[in-house]
Amino acid sequence: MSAENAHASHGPKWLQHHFETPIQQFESAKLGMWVFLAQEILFFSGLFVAYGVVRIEYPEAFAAGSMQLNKIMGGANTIVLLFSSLTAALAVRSAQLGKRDEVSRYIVITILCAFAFMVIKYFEYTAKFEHGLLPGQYWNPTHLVGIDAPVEHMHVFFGIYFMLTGLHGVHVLVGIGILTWILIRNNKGEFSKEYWTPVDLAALYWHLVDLVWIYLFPLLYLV
Amino acid sequence: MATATATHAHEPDYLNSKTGIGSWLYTVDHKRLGIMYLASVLFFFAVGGFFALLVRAELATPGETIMSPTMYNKAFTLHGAIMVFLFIIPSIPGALGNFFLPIMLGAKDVAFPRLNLLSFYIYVVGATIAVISIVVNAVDTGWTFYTPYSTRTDTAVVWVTMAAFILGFSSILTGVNFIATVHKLRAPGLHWKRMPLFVWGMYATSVIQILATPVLAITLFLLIMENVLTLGIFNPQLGGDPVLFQHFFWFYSHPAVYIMILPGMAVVNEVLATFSRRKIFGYMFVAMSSVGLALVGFLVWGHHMFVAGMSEYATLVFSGLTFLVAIPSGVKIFNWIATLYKGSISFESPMLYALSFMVLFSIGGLTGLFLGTLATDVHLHDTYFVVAHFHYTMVGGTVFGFLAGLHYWWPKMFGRMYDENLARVAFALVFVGFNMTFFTQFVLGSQGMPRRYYDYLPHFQPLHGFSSAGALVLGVGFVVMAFMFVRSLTSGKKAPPNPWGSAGYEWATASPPIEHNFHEQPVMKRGPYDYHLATDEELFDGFPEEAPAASAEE
Amino acid sequence: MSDHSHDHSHSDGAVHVHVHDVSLYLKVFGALIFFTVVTVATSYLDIDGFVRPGTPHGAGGMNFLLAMAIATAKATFVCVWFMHLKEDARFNALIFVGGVLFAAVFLAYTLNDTYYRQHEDRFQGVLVHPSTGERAPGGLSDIGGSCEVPANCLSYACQGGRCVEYVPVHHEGAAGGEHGAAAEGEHGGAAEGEPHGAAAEGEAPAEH
Repeated sequence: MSAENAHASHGPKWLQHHFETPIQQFESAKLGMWVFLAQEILFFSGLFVAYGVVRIEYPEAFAAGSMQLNKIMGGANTIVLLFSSLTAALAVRSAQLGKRDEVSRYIVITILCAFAFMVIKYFEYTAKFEHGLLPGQYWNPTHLVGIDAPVEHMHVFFGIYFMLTGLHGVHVLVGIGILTWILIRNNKGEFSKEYWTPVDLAALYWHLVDLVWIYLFPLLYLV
Repeated sequence: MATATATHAHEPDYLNSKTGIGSWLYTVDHKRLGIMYLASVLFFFAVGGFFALLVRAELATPGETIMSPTMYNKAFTLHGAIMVFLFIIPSIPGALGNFFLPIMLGAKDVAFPRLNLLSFYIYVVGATIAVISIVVNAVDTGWTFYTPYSTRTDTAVVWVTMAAFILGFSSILTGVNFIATVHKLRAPGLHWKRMPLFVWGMYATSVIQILATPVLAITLFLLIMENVLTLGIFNPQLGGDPVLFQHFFWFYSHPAVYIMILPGMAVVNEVLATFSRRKIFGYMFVAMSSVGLALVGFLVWGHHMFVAGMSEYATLVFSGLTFLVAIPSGVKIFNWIATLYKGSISFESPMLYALSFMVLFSIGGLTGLFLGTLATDVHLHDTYFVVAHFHYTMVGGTVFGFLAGLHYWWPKMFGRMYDENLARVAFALVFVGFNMTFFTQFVLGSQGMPRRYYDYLPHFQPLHGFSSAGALVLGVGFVVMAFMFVRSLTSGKKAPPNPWGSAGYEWATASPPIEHNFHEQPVMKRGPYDYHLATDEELFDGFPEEAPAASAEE
Repeated sequence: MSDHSHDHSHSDGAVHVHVHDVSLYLKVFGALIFFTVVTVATSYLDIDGFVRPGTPHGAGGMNFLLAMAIATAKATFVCVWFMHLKEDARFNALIFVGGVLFAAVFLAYTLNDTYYRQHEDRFQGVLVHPSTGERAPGGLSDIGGSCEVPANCLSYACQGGRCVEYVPVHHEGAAGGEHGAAAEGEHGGAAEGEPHGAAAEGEAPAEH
């Protein structure tokens, strides 16, 4: 797919042929990314609406379900993800300055945080599987915290819990893939002080993953 | 801002600039992708039409005519699902939009050409899964996949919803691409008030694709998970709420009808202006009515659920808001009529389709008001009246708009003219067949014939038989049209750059366009409907094949 | 919308951005961590009981509101500073806010239905509330008065103040009738049997 670089006579290699200027390419890319992020918000909105409706329907089940989640693990994950957001933002800053080594360092930290997030998530999920806190027909609670007997419709809470955290987890995995790709391109020296758009876009995506978690954490774990 | 200064003597057009199957499969050229979309959507239009004929054949007589009830349920579901997800939604944006949006903006390509290719392949994957689902066990829920039935049926619900889920992302990415293109790739001089109304329509469509389609994705994802994991969100057996599924579904699917109709309206603008040689009356109102429809369309989804068990309060709100939709629709119709007034009208086949659009869409739109009114909806809900209403908007609206655009731009896309007489014969058959089929259904519905029923009472027989006969005429019309287009490709007369004498920007390139659309960066000095500013050379002789030193727009 | 493609303030066509100090990002991160700690800490408090003694924990919604307010504050920090919305094109911010706004429309309208379904309407009603079997507005079946629901009635409607039993009709389009009763039988309420309007919708044509 290098066809579009065939007409490279009019500018730097990274400037695609149908753009006149670097700023035009940069602004188009940013606009496209923001539109994509708006799309992501609407995508997650469905789950939040489901959460809202079912929570109003079964408040006791949600309170009881929330008690089964580990606030400490969730809080730790929040901090891990916030930190990764910081390093992603710093990677963009370094890219703006053209410091390639710093960019790589920050992206590696971001990816490591993403893995740490998934590891903590893995332990949480394993606990839920062991205790039978699963949606629908798999609901078979063997160990409950803070309540003596399962509340009716509690399994719906876990249905929503697994959908929300699961889809968010998929976004984290996709983010790991994107960041790795950016890391490889950075190590190849594709980015410079003049051209760092992909780093910026990847970071925007990563911040969105963080944003979703910022709401997921209190909704599922705290209230 | 002109970049290409060398004179391009005989630069090959986009169809011949590169050869080989790979040059099509890996192309990032928006025009080739448009053609590939066109071929795909036409194929699925034929498949969906085939199922429609099966349904009408079955309904020609009461009782079993040609198929079993189970088979019938699958046939109407496949007709609906294929027509909606594989034909109408990608039809005008994917095929005509991809081809003409960048040209109308004076751009070399869309903002993200590789994303455009990806979007096409996502469509192909989704379509493949949809076809696989037909082989597996089809689906019999209706295209709406309502719970709780869709969580209980043993047909291939998961496959079909998976296909629609994937197709949604194709739609979203096209929307992202168009929005960025419209904002950032307009040629110098092409400010917002000069943008062709086709582009405005595409822009409004893209906004809906961005904001609504992800909700469909999450809805279908949850439905798949409800089937696989039994979540209990939609399934009442587990404490879920099936009406919640309808909220989810219609939050997408009502705006989606504007994804379908806005492009049709967008095409009609261009055709009406060209064939009445007039500036579109109230340009800015028409442009803003597209955006208005896109936004208002998000506030009315509940009118699909008046008798589904919604709260009284919500039905009142949704019914009231539904009437807002009539305002931008009315603005468009009235402005179009004003455009025609004292215009220099000629009746070539694109214009015939565009004028029929106005009539048929008005019928479809006005009957929509009956359905948006709470009291009448209770009687008309789930009858053939609804079927007739949305076929008047979707077929009479979108398909006629699509056909208007296809006839109008065919010479530009393929560089060949078609047989106008044959095109008019096809038009007559399609128009008559369509009205025979669906006007009858208004009558059937108001007499109480429920939709989706396999069997019916004997006294409905004459009307059902007439409707089925109309479907046959409609089918013959499309066969004639297909023959006409194929013959144009093989032995059509070579098309001049501007066969219709239009002042639109897209006619300023060669027919078919060269790979980069324009020899030089065009500079827009007048609006696309400024017939009083266009030179005679532009309008009557066609634009020059080879660009002179000055821009073709000057 | 002055984002015209060839009308940039930077005449050289290159990308110029203001690069912030590292300390700014660290300060924002510090604020985010602070808010996280606060939100976890307040989740242990019973704000509702504190504001209005006797309210069960969480029932007054104060904890929920506080947690959402803190989350929104955090999200704003991330958007404005980490995602550079502050100095980005205004239109990009509009897109993002617009996305949130439409999500809010989705939530508000859906809740407008599901929340009010639980309220009794004396004039009209079909059963739509699956958990309790309460009568709720949404149909037109009992115009002209309310009536007693027979205990063994699987599905019913009021016509002129008289309760008419509906026998569930089995056909493929309407799948609500029988399983609701089977699944929710432990409530003892026969009214459970008609979980949703979806079933009523399917059955209605057969009745008329």
